[in-house]
Amino acid sequence: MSHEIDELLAAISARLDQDAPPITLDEITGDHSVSVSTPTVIQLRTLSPASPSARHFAVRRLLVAAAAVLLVAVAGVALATRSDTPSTPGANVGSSVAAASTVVASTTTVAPTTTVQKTSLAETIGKGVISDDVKAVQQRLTELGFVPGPVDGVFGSTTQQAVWAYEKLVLKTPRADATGRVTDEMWQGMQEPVTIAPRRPTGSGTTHMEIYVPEQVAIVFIDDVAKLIAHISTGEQNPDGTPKNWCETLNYDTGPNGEALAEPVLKQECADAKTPGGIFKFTHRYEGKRVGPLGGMMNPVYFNYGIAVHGADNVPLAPASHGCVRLNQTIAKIFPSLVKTGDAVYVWAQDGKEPEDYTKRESLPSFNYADPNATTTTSTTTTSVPPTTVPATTTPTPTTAVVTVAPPAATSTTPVTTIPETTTSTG
Amino acid sequence: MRPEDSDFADFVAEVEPRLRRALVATHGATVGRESACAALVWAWENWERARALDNPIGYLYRVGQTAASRDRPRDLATGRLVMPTTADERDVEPRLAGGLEGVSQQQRAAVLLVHGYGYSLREAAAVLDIATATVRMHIDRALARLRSHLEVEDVS
Repeated sequence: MSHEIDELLAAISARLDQDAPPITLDEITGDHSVSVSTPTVIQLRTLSPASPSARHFAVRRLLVAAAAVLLVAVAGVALATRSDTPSTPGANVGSSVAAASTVVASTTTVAPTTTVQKTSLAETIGKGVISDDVKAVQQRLTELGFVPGPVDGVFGSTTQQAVWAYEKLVLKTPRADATGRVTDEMWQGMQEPVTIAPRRPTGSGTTHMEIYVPEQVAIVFIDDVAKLIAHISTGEQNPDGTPKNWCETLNYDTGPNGEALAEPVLKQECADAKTPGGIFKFTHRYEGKRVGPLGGMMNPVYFNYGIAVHGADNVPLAPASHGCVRLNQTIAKIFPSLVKTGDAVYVWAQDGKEPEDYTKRESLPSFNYADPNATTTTSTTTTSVPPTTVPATTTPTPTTAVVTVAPPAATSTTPVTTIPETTTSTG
Repeated sequence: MRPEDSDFADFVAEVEPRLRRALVATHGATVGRESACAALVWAWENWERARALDNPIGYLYRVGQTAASRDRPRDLATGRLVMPTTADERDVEPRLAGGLEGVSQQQRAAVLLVHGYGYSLREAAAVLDIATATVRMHIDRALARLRSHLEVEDVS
């Protein structure tokens, strides 16, 4: 019991930390400049809250940018100019979308023209085309680190996804506008030397992965050289970019500690299809097909609880998974051999923040919880009672043979977010 | 007189987390954070005095307490510590949140600092500016209350 109370108290304090984020120096010193004549607390009440990234960078900002902020405070305009003091590079990392986009712009550069004899395409090529032009494009994409599949002159869906990745990463085409077709103009650009640099160089002798959720592109860097560039599909999103909430009937054949169950248990559960940003490490992996409660995954390599990079048959242009990072099956065959357990994974999520800006809590996946609207059953045994065995005399309403499970309030003796073990394989 | 910027920044980095958490555990997220802010503003305005204190964090906790009571007198005891929001309600065991509202503010602060945030008894005593034995007493009583609260709920 005491252990349970401890866990719950920890959950409450984590929640309070979330509700009352760290106080920035701006809030103390900036307020000082206007609090001369009126009571302090009322002044504080009227302050607009600091932006989330400013809060999470509070300590770093505080140390690095203290001098700049102090000057601003003395000038009496601290709050108005919070985000435009680019005195040191560290002070503003991730504090605005503008800063983020400049980082993005610097990562992929097309070097000036020097080399090779260029060819041109007779026509725009796309899925379904079989020609030598296709072969040349496949050859070039392979050289650049994209994986269009075998260089066989057949433009299939693997080649199409490689072209998507090229369009989104190099040409900066918005995700929804990628065509998957190669025009002659694109082909001319593709024949130029293209350098794809990591956003977070980790030095030689290291391997790391960068996942760009807004672009739906993932890159494996070995010695900071892009070795594998893949179009991916991450957690499904609402039109406004927030993670989509899903509710499904899941088939569990193992218990919370991985023990095999005598018979599969069906649970109706919900969660957000969230691929959170942050910095992670690859933790564990399975070879071949892994069937979790949410479905099958090929060669999954996990990096954030139940979130894995894995192969899937369907890798559409839009985010479509439950939170995992889907790869084309062709790429999933080679991907596990490129990364080791412990290699770093940097995730840029849809909200445009830098990976370093996420708190541990924000980086957590969305853990499954029981469907509040579920009306039936937790296991196959409880539902298999045939209605005819219920004597009509004892049950006033004979139609209620289906066992009704109450909403989670009654069953949630354990808070969902504090138990990572329950989260195996978010497909 | 302006505090040396780096001195004050170091001071805030050192003091702020414990101060804020103690006040938030006492008064809830909104009022607690505001009162912690007010206490830190006081330290900024009276930097020479604040830096000379033996136990600055305990003193600032009392400054924050004063700010909180001045700001919103006496309706805190009935306010919920954790405000449920539709999306996040499942984060927190609802029965325990109810139980925590039943214990006194001091007991709540002590039990959350030690069992929630994992501070030592000595650290919690310094923050709350009371004796270590008093902290232990608060925690024992709060836990006893929580246990009985949960057990009663379990039967129903």
